[in-house]
Amino acid sequence: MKRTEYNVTTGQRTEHTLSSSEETARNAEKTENDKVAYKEKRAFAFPSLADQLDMQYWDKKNGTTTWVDAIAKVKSDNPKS
Amino acid sequence: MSGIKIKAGAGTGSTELQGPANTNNNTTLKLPSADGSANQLLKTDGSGNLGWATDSTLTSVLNASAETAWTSVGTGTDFTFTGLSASAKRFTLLADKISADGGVNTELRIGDSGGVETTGYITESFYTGGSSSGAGVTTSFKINGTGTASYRQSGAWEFWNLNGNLWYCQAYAHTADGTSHASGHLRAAMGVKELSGTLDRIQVYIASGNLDMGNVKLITWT
Repeated sequence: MKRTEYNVTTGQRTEHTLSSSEETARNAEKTENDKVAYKEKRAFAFPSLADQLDMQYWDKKNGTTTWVDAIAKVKSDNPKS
Repeated sequence: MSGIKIKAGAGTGSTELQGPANTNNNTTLKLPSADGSANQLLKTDGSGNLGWATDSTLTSVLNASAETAWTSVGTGTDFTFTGLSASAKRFTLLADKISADGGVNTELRIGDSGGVETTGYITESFYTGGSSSGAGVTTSFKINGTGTASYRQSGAWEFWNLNGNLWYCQAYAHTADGTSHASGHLRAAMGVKELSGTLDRIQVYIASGNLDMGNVKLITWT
């Protein structure tokens, strides 16, 4: 793993390889992030509330499962880590 | 109308100071005893005594004092501008199609001589548009709205000094997949962060994976 720095004063650009302790900290942060990342991805992928209400209306009217299918797809596309 | 005509030091011209166009009052205005400083204005104390005063509208204006060239964010875990001016009151980080190798949020962090700080942020992190969601974040100024590896984010992300070492960040991100739009969402972060020392670095960060494309530049305002 590496990180990039650009010194505004000198214009010098450098790349550093992460030390073992930095890598450990980075991995710990990634682990914590992964625990909630699926929630964020699901929240972002769900249809808008207006679209979901429309799906539920037509499902009720036609006896279809469009809404359940749409929600299930978002969940399966973004499984818990 | 009567006045005092003052001839120029050279040439044939002059400048005339005139009284009011029409009044029955007798007014005395006393000039200050010495010159003022550059850009000061003549003021009155309401009793006829004139003096010099600093124009607050002039001193409060910030000017762009430095601008870096566009530079790649590279392919690491983060990209950091360092060596920032201690006298700056505002920074604008311009981002052109920043991308990561996975679906992650773009995050911004600031720091001082002790390094980039990873706690103590008070951030409202949200997106809105076709759907909306938000969360409070304490580890960064996180621009909310996880996408996919193909998403690229652009924006003019602002950092303002409120007082001392307290900084406010406001970052709206335009997100697109290549040249077409991506879901019509506005992704944003706004928050404050108090540093323990003088701000000298600003970081673009992702929580997992690596950056894989995009350019940035930093404008310094003093």
